[in-house]
Amino acid sequence: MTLRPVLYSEWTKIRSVRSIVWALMMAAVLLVGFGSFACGAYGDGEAAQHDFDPLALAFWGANFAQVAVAVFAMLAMGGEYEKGTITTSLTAVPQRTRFYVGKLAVTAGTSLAVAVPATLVTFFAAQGLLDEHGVPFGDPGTVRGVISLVLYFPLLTLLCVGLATIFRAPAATMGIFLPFLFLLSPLSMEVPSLRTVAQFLPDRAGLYAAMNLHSNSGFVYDAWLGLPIMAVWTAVAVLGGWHALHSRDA
Amino acid sequence: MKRLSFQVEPGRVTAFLGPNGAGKTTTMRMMLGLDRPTDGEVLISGRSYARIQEPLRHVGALLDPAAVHPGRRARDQLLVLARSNRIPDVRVDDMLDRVGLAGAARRRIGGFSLGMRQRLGLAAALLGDPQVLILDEPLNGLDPEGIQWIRNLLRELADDGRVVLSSSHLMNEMAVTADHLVIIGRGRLLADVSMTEFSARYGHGRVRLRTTRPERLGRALAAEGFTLTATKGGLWEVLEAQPDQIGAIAAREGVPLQELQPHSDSLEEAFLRMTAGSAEFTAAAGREALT
Repeated sequence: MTLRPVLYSEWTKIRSVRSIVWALMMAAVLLVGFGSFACGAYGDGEAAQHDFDPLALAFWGANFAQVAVAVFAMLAMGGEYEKGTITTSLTAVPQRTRFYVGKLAVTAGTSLAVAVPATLVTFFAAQGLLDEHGVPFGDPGTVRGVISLVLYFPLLTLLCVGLATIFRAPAATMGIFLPFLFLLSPLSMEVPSLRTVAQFLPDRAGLYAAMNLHSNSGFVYDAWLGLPIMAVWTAVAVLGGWHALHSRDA
Repeated sequence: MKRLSFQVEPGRVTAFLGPNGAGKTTTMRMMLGLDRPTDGEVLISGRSYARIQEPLRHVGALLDPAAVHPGRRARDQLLVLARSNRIPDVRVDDMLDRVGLAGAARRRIGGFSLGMRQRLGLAAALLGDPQVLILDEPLNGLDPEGIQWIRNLLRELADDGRVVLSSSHLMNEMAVTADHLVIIGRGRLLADVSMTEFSARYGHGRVRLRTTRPERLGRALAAEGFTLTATKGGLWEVLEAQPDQIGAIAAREGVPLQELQPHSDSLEEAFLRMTAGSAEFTAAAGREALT
């Protein structure tokens, strides 16, 4: 039993709904746009700061792009429940694991395909704009940062698809998860007593690995560990979604 | 659902009837593996649905026509389904043509009327040229032309030797088309009979007529053992009679008839009587609630 027809079908689903396509395009635009803008407009000022990090400034747009990525993933999976198309989908592909794997693979794959060029363009455009304050690709931390941001997109996508499958209602999932991404998680990093815990949250861990040239003394773990920590969260969400899909009626 | 057991045979249209809330949709969802029964099983050609490889090539289903992404174009909607079961893209255009949606293929489904969605759902069901069709309320929300079209389609499909199961909560909707009836109420099987047998048992018709000489006709009919009674709107009614019998008597007596029609409500009434005790919300209960 091959997975290819399911992948082709899932790709057709994504491609044929404008809001889903736009959400992902928006992620790329926000990443490139905000990074270039920050480096071009505030590069010199920021470079004078003692804690200046050319990677953090270049990838500043990731804070906004991640919201678009989350919306993309929740529309792709949550939309199936919201519109009721999950019944049609499971009638066409009644083997639920096969359907789920197909959905995960195509959403994560699409996300990755957008993340690679978007991240590379952002990095080189931003470092070019920073001029003498920039870092060349290959300097310590740059390779880790770029690879982490490229993988941050598909990991966040998988996480959100898992959550959307567990909670089914995209409005509720977005209503809880987006403020978390945008507000709760970053704000909790500013509260000293929460900071030790908050740095293990999936988005903080992933962005820590992507946006820091050097490991930050405020974190209790090394920057390269950020992505594996996020991957653990993702695995839990994906398995939770798989369990929900199997144990409940469609 | 309790002790519900029946078989659907190929080559005939089987009407799956029951009042709202009887469990028709749930039964159909169980057939498709969407809901799982706590006990028991549904086999399609000896297999459970989830074990069928590329199921759209064997079973076509129409469930909720509203369960579509409004932002997707009609053709894309069918492409999504076709590609998941390795059905060639050309079938998509053929089916859109067959259900009369070729002109709307590139329109977004959000702008479709219920009738158009129903047609799109049927195109989806027919996509894989399946031997088995499971259709939930296919006549819902259709105009008379659409109803006629689906009736002919069901007939054609059954005459091809396919298994056709079509649900409805109205007896009259299916009476013309169905060869066989499966009637349920509150999740239990009430009847599993052929249409011929059902009509023979309950269909002893009733004739309604309009005449300018009711007294004379009444006497003639009484002599033959029929009773003529007045009903609303100046119409007269003869119970347990066929139009040809009454027409012949009137002609013999030279009584002019302005109108003569068989009254087909008797099947619907038989169906209502059969399911009355089992309807989820009966009219009587509703009246009680009001007082």
